[in-house]
Amino acid sequence: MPTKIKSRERDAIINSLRSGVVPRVGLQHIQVGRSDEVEAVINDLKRAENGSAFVRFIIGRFGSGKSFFLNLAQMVALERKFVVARADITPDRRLYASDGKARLLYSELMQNLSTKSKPDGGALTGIVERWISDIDYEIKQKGGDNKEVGKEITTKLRILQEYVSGYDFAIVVNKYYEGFCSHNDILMVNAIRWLKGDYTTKSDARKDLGVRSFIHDMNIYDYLKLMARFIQMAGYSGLLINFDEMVVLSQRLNNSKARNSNYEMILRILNDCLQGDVSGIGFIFAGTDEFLEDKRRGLFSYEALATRLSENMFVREGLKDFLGPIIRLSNLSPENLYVLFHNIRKVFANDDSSKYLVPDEGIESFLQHCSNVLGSEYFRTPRDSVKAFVNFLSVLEQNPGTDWKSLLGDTKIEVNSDPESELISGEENENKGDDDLSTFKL
Amino acid sequence: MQSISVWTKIKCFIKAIFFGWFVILLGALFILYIWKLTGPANWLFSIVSVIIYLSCFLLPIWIYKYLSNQVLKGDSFKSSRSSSSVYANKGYEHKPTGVSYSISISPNRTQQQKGTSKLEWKGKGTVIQLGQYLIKNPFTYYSKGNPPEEEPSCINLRLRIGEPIVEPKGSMGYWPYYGRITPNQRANYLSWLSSGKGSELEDIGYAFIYFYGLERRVIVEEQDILDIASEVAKLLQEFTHSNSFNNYLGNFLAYIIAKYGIEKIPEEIFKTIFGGNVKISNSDYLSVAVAWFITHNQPLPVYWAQMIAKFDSRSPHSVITKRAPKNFNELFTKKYHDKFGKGFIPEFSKRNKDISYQPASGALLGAVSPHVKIPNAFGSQRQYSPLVEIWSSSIEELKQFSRVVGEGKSKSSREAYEALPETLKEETEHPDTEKWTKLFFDHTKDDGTTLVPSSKLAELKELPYKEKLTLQQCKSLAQTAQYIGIGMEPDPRITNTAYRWEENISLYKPDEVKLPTDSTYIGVSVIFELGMVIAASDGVIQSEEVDFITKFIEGYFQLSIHDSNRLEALKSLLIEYPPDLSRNMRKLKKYLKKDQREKVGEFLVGIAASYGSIGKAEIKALERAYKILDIPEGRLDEFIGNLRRDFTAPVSISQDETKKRTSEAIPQRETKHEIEQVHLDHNRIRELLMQTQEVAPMIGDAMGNAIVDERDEDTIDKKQTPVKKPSSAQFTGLDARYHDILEKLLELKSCPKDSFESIALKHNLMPSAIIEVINEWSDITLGDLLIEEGDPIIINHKLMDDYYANQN
Repeated sequence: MPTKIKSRERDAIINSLRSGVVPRVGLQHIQVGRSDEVEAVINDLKRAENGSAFVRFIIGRFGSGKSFFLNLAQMVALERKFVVARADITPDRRLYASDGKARLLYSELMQNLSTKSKPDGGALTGIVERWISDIDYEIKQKGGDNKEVGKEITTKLRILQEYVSGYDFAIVVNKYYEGFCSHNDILMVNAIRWLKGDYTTKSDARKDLGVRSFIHDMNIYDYLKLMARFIQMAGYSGLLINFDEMVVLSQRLNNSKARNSNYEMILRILNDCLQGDVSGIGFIFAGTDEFLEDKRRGLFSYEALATRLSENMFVREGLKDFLGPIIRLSNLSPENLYVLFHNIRKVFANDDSSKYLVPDEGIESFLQHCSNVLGSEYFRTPRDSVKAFVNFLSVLEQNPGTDWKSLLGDTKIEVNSDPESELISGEENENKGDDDLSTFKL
Repeated sequence: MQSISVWTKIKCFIKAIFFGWFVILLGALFILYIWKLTGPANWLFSIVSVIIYLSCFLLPIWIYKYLSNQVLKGDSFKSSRSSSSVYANKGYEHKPTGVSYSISISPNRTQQQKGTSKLEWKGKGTVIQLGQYLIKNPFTYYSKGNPPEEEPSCINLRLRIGEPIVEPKGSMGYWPYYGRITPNQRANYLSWLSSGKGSELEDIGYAFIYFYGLERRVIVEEQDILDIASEVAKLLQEFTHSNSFNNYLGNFLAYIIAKYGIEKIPEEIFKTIFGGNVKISNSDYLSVAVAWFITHNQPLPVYWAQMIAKFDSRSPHSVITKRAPKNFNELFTKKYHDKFGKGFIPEFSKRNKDISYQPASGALLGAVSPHVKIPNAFGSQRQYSPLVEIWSSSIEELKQFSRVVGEGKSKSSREAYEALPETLKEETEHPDTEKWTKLFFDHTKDDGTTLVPSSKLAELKELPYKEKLTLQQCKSLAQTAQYIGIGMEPDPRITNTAYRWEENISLYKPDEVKLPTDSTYIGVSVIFELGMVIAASDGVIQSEEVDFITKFIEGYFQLSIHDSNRLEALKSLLIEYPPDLSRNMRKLKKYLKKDQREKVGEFLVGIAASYGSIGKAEIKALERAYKILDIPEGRLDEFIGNLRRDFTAPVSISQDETKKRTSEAIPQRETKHEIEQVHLDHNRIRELLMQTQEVAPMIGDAMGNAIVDERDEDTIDKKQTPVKKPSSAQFTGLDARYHDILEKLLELKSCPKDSFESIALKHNLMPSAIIEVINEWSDITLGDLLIEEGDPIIINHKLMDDYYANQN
């Protein structure tokens, strides 16, 4: 059943695509194919819900839709009541560092923490308050006062003390509640700052919150595990952590020691997840083929990872294995792009076919136009084509009565009605109701 | 360097010999044992053993030196009880507990030991002169030599006194003792005593030394109880920074008053002892004080009521009480008096309360009878619930103020003032009073009217230029003016209409500015305006016309003095700047039904006819008004005709008769243009004007009924067209505790973040949790997020409307 396009989704999709970035909401309206990959992620999320953990590497060439897929995974996870943290790896934000760069990555993750009701990030305060509110309500229903709520918070967080720095974490959450009760906004802000990893010295942390530790480069993974547990306690299904632009580690870190330290961190995560040492948490790393396969600089340069991530030798052309940690994304085909344009048109028209700004013929003409302007490989890196198409539709929308042909210029295209066209794929079959792809060929 | 007495030296020597030789003996036994095990053949071991053994002979000498040093430092005294000392960040806090050394504490044991001098007391009205230090009312023990008993406060007159010095905190050691502190420290102490014990102390240890003597005097000798209680109360007020000192003194006062008998304490003594602004950290102190009020059947003063609320576990602890103590006290006081008038008298519970005291002076351990029973004022906590409520609501109301101050704004800034609760605003002068008053008098004319362009007022509030100010800004201007004691007309809080940048506003300075309590004034002001429109229709507003309208309104409406003042200010504005007919008329047209509009039309005719005649220009004005109000044209003639019905003058030929003509009719001149001067029936006019009283509220309602409620929530934009309020039962799937707040939010269109947080607190919920839970629910149930975060927070009503529309 088609889902209704919400106005905020429509705005987000159009604005994001026009700027050449992947929208964070409403992806279901423009998604093209990838059903097996999405299903694999859904299965992972289900396992995490049941107390397991998972790690995935999304590998694909530039423009293959890795970021899109990460957003899609985020959307699916949010629907399943996960909390999602997302960050791009950059030279200044890494998994392992000794000069505060790993802490910056943690801060970025916490900054972008999103929930279903706060999909654009900044959900940390809401999560903490929600959990505290539940306890507050429970205790006060029994006639307790603020002190008893504080005690109960400590009691409930005792379970976290088995984790590294769990004790301090409990103190900080308690401080947040203390600040709330005494209307001390500064204390509340400090507590959130600590949880976000914004403290850089012990003395500041101790002065402001009375805790002897803070989140630093060496313990960010421990805190992610701690946070995942806390999130589960707060009633969410778990924590999904998405890392994009992993290629930065392999291609932009010239120091092999720094690179290997980061790979060691990935290995630690991989081992923990595969061996069942952590629960309720999932990691998705998105990177290019070079990031994975480069024997000199990529993950495969680190032998322990190479053996763990080596692909199933029985997987041949056309066969897939989603049980391994790697998901390979193939590049878009012209047909994928057609369906994508079709979906974008639908978004513009708010899913009302009577309001389509261009007919199907117009989409085909536009593809031809792209081919002429951008070259025959235009569909492999669709960013420019999509931007152009969104701009094209925007002009038509804002200038009713404009003839799309005159805007685009007449372009003749050949339409092949051969039903046995090799271009039909499983993915497109899912969108059969929406398009007549099977008769299209460039 | 200070020397120690011979007797002390001998004691140290004996201790050193005994202890040293005991160790030597043990050493010898140990070496013999080892020798036996290893045999004499192990020559290396033998040499080492002999060296160690010989060095043991030095041990008694070291021990002697050590003990002598410790006695000099006073540490030997401490060493047996060092665990009783607690350090705090600001110097050390003295907190003795268990004491094991044996001294006589019995008042009967005054038998003087050999080589000691008698311990004597110097109390109120006496004087001690020690060198340059003259101590009046010393309240201390002294001796002419070593005292026979250990008494830390005893001033041994034989001990040397140095010069006052400045030392770091804690220099006296953990346990201050007059006999063991340095001569310079003694000089510090005596200097403080001679200053009347009122000067500042670098080290609270000096106050402790003094206090030990007071303890002994009351607890051991049971003398001068009330004098000492007053003295202790003074100390308690003076030295508030040491929690330990406060706690001891508070407990001591409570104990001695309880022991003396609460009922025996006269009021003036009680006020001396418990009357100061003391930092209470001891519940016994509070219990005794409150018990005194109950025993003497006196209502609790605000200070004690506040202390009770503060110590009640149900009261919230807030930074507000520290950040804005003065404002908090004022608000609490006001609320307390509003609730209890002269004050609240609690009741005792059936069971008594035990009061005990652990002396601060180690010399007094065991001297205290363990418990004293007093009537229990805190047996029933329920009776103090109203105080807790006052405390909590005071905190709640000051939250906004505290936030502004917390952001770094001065407490005397405009922002801080405007964040104060209304009750406090009344008693505080607005920071901009001077500027406003100057502007007011600069624009006051000789006839007493004050007309000011709104731009001038906006400049006072540093509002940027806008062709038209926002309604919120205009309301804020009017509100500020009210705080300063200036009224404004038109008042946007009443009219719900924003000012243009250069719009003229009439200011007035009544005894008290008050908003109208109902919609009558709105109606009256509109009637007045309409009257002025009609009066101005001939181009000139005559003073007789204005008087007539004013008298007419005064005659038909019972306006309060506040409303009359407003109307007067409005009058002065409208005389200078005649009103625009269309402005109010369009509003009336929008909000009134057809029959209501016709009633207004009829009323306007009455106004026009109030002189007994309607002029041509007035008729034109009426025609225009009827057009704007969308009243059928014929109705104006009809109403005028009604007024003429009983008039004896010849009546013009009716329209119907013209239809009966068979021949071609001579075209009629339009009646209304024909009428140069219509003469009217005065009785009918009176009747018509009587109807005005019905019309006024109707107009008032139509003009928005915009009397501003002063409550917090009303700073929030209400929806222009209220949505159907969904019942909580319709929030299926949403946790029940969020139903109330969601209902509340759905009454609003948008809501400033601060107000949202206030609403959340009123519902005992956390703001971010509310957004998280409600949005999660709405995303599932309504298909999108209901609350849009930001400042202001926006409520997406369309979602709810669509949802209920679909359901219906």
